Amino acid sequence: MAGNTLRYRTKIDLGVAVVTVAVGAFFLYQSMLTESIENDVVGPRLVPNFIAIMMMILGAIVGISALYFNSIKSSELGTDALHADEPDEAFGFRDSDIVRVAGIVIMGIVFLGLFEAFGYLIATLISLVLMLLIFGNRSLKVIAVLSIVGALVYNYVFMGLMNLHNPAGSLIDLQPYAEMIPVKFIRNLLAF
Amino acid sequence: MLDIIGGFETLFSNPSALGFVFLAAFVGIVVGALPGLTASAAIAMLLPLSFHLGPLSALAFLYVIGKSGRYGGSIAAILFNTPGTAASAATMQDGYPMTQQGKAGKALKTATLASIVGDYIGEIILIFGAVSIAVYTSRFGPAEYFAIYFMAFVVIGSVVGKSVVKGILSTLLGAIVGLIGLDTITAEPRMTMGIAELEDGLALVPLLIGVFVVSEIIVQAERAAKQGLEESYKNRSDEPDDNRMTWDEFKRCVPLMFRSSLVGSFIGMMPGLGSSVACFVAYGEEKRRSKISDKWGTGIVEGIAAPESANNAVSGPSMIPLLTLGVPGSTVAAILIGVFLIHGIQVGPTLFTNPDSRELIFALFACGLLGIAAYGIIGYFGGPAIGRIIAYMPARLIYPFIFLTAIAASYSSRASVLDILIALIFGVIGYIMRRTDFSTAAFVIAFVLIEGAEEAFRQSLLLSNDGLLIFVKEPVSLAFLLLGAGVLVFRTISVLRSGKKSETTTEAATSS
Repeated sequence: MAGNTLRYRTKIDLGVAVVTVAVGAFFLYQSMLTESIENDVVGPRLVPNFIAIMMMILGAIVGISALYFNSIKSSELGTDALHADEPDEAFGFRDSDIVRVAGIVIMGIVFLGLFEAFGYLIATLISLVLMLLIFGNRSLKVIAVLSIVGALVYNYVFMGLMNLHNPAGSLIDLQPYAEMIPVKFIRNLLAF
Repeated sequence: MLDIIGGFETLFSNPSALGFVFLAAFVGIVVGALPGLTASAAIAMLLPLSFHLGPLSALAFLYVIGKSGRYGGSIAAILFNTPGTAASAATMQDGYPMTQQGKAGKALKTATLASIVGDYIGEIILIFGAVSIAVYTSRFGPAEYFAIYFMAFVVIGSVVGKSVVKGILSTLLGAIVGLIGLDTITAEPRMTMGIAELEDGLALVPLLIGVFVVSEIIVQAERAAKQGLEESYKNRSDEPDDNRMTWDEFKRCVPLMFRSSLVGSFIGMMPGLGSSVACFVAYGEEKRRSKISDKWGTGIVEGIAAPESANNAVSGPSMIPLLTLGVPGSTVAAILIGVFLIHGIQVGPTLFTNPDSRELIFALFACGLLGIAAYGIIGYFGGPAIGRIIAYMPARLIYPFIFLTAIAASYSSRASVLDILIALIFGVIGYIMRRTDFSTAAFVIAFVLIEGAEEAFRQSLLLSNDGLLIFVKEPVSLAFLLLGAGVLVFRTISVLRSGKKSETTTEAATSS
């Protein structure tokens, strides 16, 4: 099988090469769309075009050298030893936990959706609960306390102290309550 | 000398800046000591806060975090055998064996003293070096500037990673992403993909947060890294000598700390060659010189003093390219350039000719000197306690909050939801880069450098009657171009040689 004659590192590097060439081609295309005066050599396209072409060339070099080194290793060690000779686990995605990686990314998107729908306070509260779960916390008490306290503190620091723009939620507008909470919270703390 | 005294006067007349120096010393140690989280990550997250501060407080806060964060990395390296920052990777080799022998207190105190010595030497070289170099660089034109940018790109790209080609690809990727937005000369939108918000270009803060913080959160979510940290630090000795650096040990380490500090300072002046390179160079050199080189790696104070002096000595001189040329040589400097610009201060040699900015810069130097003392005192007396607390705080509780802070910090830079999305996208990109031997540091530095580089390049060509020959005709520009090319060739040869060497080792291991 052709797949077995390729080392794991080679496969990853070939993927890197394809992505790099594609990214270079994409930016080259985007750069060519830039309006420029005809025959203006020192125009706005010059540097991006150069960088994009260099990316494509170096991407191709990564791919070609990966295949070259694979063929050398293959002829030196044979197919069986070829796969045993790859100790670097930090390279590539063999030990990647795709579920957790996706979890973090989805969490970010969920935060954006919640922020749009309910505003900052609720988005922070729900996101903290979900993040604590993603990171393996299972104690409901810990999750509840940390999420509520955390959301209040974040709301107070970023929206209260730093006075950031806090748009009203498009589904439920909790902004007036959110603005009151830190003040009440701190007053209660002081009274306590 | 009068300038630096004036700097202290300015600092002491600004209680807010003074407070932020001490706060930064503490925050930097804590963040640096958290395995996985670097000083750059902390600075990226706290950068939006600096928008609400005066220029001195903002710069002092972030600058001192950079220093104390480097030092804080040694706590994680010594106690948990996990470098808090790449700069402390060499410290682990003797630091962790000392912890296993119950001498964590001695190791931490050695690291503190060595870091202070290194940082002070580096800061003094920065103060005197920057002023002298700025006098010379003020005469540079666009051709010289472009040559310096070119050298920085090549050096950073070829030195920071395991692979020269991937290192250069990292800089090219950072550069092309940095060109998205309006062209600085013609104001034409470039590579904006029809998205109006991209005409202003990608903001630095969400990009930094994505690459440094979100990607680290993803890694930590995979690993749940600090499981088992408590085990390593439970083995503690009650012997006083095991918890302090003795006078004999200190005397033995003084010459070594000075030599390593000079090595670190020299490496720090070169763009891209940061603390992680300095610590290994100093460790290797001092081990080679040592009469007891066979004991290195088994837990001796010299093995901590050398890398810690070198990696902290990098901090000051790495600011020299930024302050004298406006070219950041490290990620911390790349972030600080943003703070300067936000407060309307043009970085480069004019910093020292304008009386207002000169006063600010010397006050910043004073902040650096005070910050070193502050993190030294906090670290010397509180380092073990900080380590203990971190050991008992699992990653599963810390990182959800870091995620929310990163999201809030991304949003706070321009109050734009798009910036949160950008942070997430670059978080994934940063994660993939780390997994495939690309360099996130080279990517970020190139992102910051490209605007100035492109401007200098096109201005030179517009001024030139001989096209590209302008870069070869100017001696200074030619020297920098040759330096860049020389580093690239040298690095390529050394990577190819080390590849061959490791192949031979593998073959030997296989045949045996």
